[in-house]
Order: sequence, then C-alpha cells, then structure tokens
Amino acid sequence: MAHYIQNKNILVRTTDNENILFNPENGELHKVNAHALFVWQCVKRLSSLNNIIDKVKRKYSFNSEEDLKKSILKILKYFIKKNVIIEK
Amino acid sequence: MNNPYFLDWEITSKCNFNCKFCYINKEKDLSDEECSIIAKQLAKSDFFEIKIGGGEPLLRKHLVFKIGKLLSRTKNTVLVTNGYLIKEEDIDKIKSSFKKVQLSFHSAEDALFTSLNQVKSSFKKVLGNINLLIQNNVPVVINFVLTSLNFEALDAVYKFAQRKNLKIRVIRYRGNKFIPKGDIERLYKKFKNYKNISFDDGFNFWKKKKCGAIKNTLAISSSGDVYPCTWLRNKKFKLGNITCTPLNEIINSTKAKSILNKINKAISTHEEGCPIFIENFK
Repeated sequence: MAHYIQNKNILVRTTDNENILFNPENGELHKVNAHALFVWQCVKRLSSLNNIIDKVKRKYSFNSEEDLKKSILKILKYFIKKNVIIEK
Repeated sequence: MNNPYFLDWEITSKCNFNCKFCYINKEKDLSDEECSIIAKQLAKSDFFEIKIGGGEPLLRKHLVFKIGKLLSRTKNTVLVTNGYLIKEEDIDKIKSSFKKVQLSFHSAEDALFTSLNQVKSSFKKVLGNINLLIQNNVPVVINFVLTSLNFEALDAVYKFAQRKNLKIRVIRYRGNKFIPKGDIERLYKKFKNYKNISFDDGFNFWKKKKCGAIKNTLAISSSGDVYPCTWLRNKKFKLGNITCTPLNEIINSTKAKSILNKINKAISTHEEGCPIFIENFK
C-alpha cells in the first residue's frame, strides 16, 4: 500500500486570506483551500491513505466515505505531481 | 494586503563588473549594523524566499554570510552573484548561508562575456568558479539576462548549462536594450518546453497579462529604499525606507496600493513589455 510524506523543503504560509505552499526546488507557489492544507498537514509523518482518511473524517463531514476518498486522492495526486508530497 | 512572497535585497550597489545593461543606481550602502537590524526584521517576516544580491554582494562577504546564515534558518535564501569573487575558502560559508546560488552568466563565449561586463579575463575565472561550486555540490542556477546584446547567445548558454546539469533562468531585460516582441515570442516558444529552463515575469506581460510586483515580490535597495520590484527603482516608485518604517506598514501604505493599481491598469492594456518601465525609464 502506498504511503505519503511531505516534501521537507516545502515552505508554508497561512493567513486569514490564503494558504500558500512554496516549493523552492522549482519556485512554484500553490494556493490551496483549507481542506487541501489539512491533507498536507496530515502527511507530516509517513501516512497511508487510510491514516489520512481517518484524520480528515474527524475534521470534515462528507456525504460518503467514497466521496471523501476521491477528494483526498485528487488532492494527493496534485501534490505528488507538483512534488509537494512524496509517495513512498 | 498580504505580504509578498519573494524579496530581492541589494546589499550593496557597488560592483566589480561594469555590465553594459546594468540598471542599479549607485547609492550609499547601509552599514553592517543597519543591515543586521534589517536581517533580524526579515527573519521574522513571512517571505518564502530572500535573494541577497547587489551590485556584487560578495564585495561584502563577511556581512553577506552572516545575514545569509541568520535568514536561512527560516527562509529559502539565495545568493545572486557574478561569481568572480568566489574563493575555495568561501564554499562552506556559502553552503551554510544559502540554499542556492544564482550566478549571472550572459554568454558562454569569452569575447561576448567580457564585452558585456567590461572586465578582461573574467570569463575563465567565472567558469572556474562555476566548476568549483559544482564540485562542492552547491546548487547553482544560471541567470541569463536577455538583451539585444546577447539575444543570440542563449542557445550556447543553454547547452553549457545542460552539459553542467544546471538550471537556467532567463530574465527579460526591461531597459533600453529592447528586443522586438516577435523575437521574444519566438525565443520563448522555442525554449518554453525545454527542460531545466525557466522564464521570469518579463515573458508574461504579453501572454498572461500579469505582474507580481508588490503582490509577489518586493525589492530593497542598498540604501534601504523599498520598491515594487528590482526594475522600478526611482523616487516615483519608492514605497518607503526600511530603516525608517516597518515593512508591514510600507506594504500596506496608500502609496503601495496606488502604485499597485497603476501597475495592474497598465499591464492589462499593454503588450510590449513592462509598460511602467518603458514609460518611466527608457
């Protein structure tokens, strides 16, 4: 099963108006919503998809577990593509 | 207004090179003590990245390494240098103070290189120092300032960077060495999908119609004056001075908002380059 962890080089800024992740490796800025930021925070330590789902479930309500899983996978896919999160 | 993400700090306006296209005004540099106070303020700020440049920052080596080390604890610190003054004994200090080095390299051919910076024998020395940095695993990015003087040189510099396994950043010169828009566009289209090459905001005006000045970037001159970006640097665009006013106040000042509005308005209607620069500096 895949596990996920933050790219340790990423810098984060959260303000009332925006949440920004900065990847100094390629200079890219990623503006993310609170939900995606929370997913990012969930993988501070090496985590499986199930670990992440459990943590997000405790904070956000979703119509179904399937919707939640889809939403998290979409965020993870984006973060992996941008090298913000590393899949192990 | 949110603070910008990136800061260019010119630690000195003095330089050992005399580049034909240089736009830096000669100013009185702040003292080491004043720079250290500013660095402490910046360490607590929420900039992601702080570039220490000049002029040539390594003319103030002791200060630059001290400031870089302090800032590197919380920021992505970048040394912007022409590379000439780097010595072997500096390598450990560079590595502990900066996450990467952006090294100006505007031609891969000796004659053009020295004709641009007007310093004889500088080519071999800079080349040697690029190798020194690479041998010591210092992350290096080649800065290539694109002007009408070296427009044809990008191909060779790109190949040089590829051979050395270095990234290259192309910066469009906003000054009076304009290159026709069509040529810029052709060059951009040719290189944009190449690997390890990136283009600065100067290539976006005619395409995305956006500019990062004040919103994304800010510049501090060697005298502490704060500007929307490294290019817009005359009294008209001075937002304040960091030795007199906290940065937060400068960013949220009426003048900053007014200049930002002016930039946004100009960008949305102009396609030939930075309209503010062309209007005020040509």
